[in-house]
Amino acid sequence: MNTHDVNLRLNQQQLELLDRTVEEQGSSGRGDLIVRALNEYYEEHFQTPAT
Amino acid sequence: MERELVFETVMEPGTGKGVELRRGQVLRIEQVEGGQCADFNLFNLHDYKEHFHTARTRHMHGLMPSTGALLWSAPPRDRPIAALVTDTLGSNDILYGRCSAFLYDYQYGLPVHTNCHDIQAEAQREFGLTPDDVHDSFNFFMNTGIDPSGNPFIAPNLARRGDYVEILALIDVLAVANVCGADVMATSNFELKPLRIAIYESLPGELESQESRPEAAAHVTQRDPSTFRVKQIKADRELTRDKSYVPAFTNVPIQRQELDVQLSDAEIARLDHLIETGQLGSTRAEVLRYVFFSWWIEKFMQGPKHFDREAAKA
Repeated sequence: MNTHDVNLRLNQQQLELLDRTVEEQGSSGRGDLIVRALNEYYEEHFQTPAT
Repeated sequence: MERELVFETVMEPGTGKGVELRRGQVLRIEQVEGGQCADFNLFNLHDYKEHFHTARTRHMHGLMPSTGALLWSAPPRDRPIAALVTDTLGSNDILYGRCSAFLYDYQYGLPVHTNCHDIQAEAQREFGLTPDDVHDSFNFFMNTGIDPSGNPFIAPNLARRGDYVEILALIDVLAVANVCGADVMATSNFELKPLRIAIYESLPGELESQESRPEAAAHVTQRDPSTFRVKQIKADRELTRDKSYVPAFTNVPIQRQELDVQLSDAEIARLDHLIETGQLGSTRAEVLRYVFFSWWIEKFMQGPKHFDREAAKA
């Protein structure tokens, strides 16, 4: 499986929110939570449920 | 169980009345004939610089608050100072500003005319407040909307004889209502009519039920003058520079960091699809950042959300 790096720029306040959510959600890290957000957001907003 | 009446009076057209409400007392504003808008100001009785704020209330409860809405004070106080506990009609406005002498002069050529600002100022003068202290009003019984072009409009007043709102004080307040002076606008159906105001004691448990709401919980970010760097109210009108001033902004300088996020082929495909929508940004990094915080808001943010879920699907 190929992987692709996306370079995000975040400030310390955004990272504070990210790190707190990583801890509260038991994620393995910042990247893991962001990928989860991408997938959940996409599935909720853009994926047509199977019928 | 009926509320115990403490005080009542009728405000005639062109007038207003300020009343002191102790924490736990209820102010009722009632239609005598129907079809009349009531403008309303609310101040902390012990510190008039804390007062009702239409913008914070709009943020928390929308443009037309009704039963269950809290009346919030302005930042940095940012706390509920009263609760709208009864609203028999459900047609209120916190979008429009109060009418003023200028509006009747400029829009109608009527330089001497009843208007909410001057009525309010005259009523509040009983408590030593100046015309500059009148704040944006809660417009009870005012029927308004926004057209598809984004312009506000005033619709016919729907209030019937006997309709009323009840405002429960969560702190000691000065409450000032007036009979809106707009007789050449649709606000009160082009006729000024009296309004009854009355103070009642709240029913047992009523205050506690409001104070126990999650929104009413105290936060350290709800600041009061004890934490202000300038504690005294400025009493002169001229503005001059404080030569000893040293800026103390929060979290400054803002530091930015780079963060590499690894995505699979499938995840990159999803991200690129989101870019194609043209709604969330033009680069993978912009869209991924937008998606993360939008997701966070949807999942975890308390209170009303501030973006349009439907627009994100466009």
